[in-house]
Amino acid sequence: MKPQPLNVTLLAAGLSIHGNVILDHGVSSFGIVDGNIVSNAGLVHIGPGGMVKGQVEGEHVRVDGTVEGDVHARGVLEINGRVKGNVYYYGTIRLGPRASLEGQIKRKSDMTIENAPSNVQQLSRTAGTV
Amino acid sequence: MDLREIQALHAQYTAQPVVIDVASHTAAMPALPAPDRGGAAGARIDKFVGKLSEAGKPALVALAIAAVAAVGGMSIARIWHAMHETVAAPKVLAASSAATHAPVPASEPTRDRPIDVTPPHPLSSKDLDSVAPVTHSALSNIDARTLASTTSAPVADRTVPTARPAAENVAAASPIRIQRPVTPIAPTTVASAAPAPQAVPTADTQVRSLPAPAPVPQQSPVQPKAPVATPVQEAAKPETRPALRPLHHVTRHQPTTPSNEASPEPAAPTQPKAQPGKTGDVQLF
Repeated sequence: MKPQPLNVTLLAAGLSIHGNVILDHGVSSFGIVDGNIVSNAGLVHIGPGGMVKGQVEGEHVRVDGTVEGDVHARGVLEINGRVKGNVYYYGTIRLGPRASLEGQIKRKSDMTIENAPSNVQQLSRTAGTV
Repeated sequence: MDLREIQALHAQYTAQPVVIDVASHTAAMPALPAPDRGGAAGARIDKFVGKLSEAGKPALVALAIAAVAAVGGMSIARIWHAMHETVAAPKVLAASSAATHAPVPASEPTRDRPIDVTPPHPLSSKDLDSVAPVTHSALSNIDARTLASTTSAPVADRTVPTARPAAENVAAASPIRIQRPVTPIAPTTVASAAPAPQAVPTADTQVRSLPAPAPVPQQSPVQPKAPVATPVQEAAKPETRPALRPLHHVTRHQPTTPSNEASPEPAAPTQPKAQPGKTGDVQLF
């Protein structure tokens, strides 16, 4: 299996984006984003000096800067910065020495099981047939 | 934070996609033996044998018990049958004897009875059987009829010699039954010009059956004196000896050697016979 090439978007410092940023790979933001950042895969990294005024949603989320909004992480969530909003995570959460949270931390598990009743029925059906 | 650090950071969270290449994996895997259906059949057979073995023990026990019971029943039935036959055999004989003897006196009163009247005893197949019933016993091979006949045989045996049929009398009087030791000698001696006087004083039956010796004494009228005495003794001996010695016929083969008797000395063969008479000893055979 060939290792896929690392695909990362870098928003360097001194950059300002007004609007949502939607990505299918990882991103490192050292600028100012006035909107949401949504990534399907990879790491959403809010570097030190970076600031996001909106939601941050990604596979893995690492906050070293400032986020003024909710944070949704489906995997690993590391906070070593400042977050004004609620934090929703589905995997693990790490809080660094410089972590500052102004909101609630909630762990969700329903996302992993979508259409649970139907799946359960299918599983029961398959188990019954076997 | 330079690019290398950013790259290393992203590399930490980059999940290597796991792709399962079934084709390459199957090609890399060693060839596994395909599950043959014979194994499944063998497993089924094993299961069947296991079930049979589980259910076989009580079945074998039941079969053994049934076999023992059957053998015991057969033996008991055979013993009972044998005992029943041995006990019932005399009854059957008595019944048969009664059936044979009873009708005689019963026939007289039946003359006055109508035909429809039932007989004193119910008719059975035994009454209709003319042959005496044969009873075989498993314990003994003795025929019951022989036992029954032995009881009635002495009477019949006693009557047989007295009531000999005429045919047997004729056969006994036939010339074949005539005592040969005396008769054959005379013709042979006569034919070979032997002294004739031997045949003259024999028994009446011999004289009757042998008319030829008559001319013999004419040929040698001188010799008869000595031989005459011996034939008389010989003639007298057969009358007495058969009563004393029934086996006298065995010794009569001695004169069958005509070469020695060809010489006209009839007294020679009579001498050894006269010795036991003179000495008074009893010949033992």
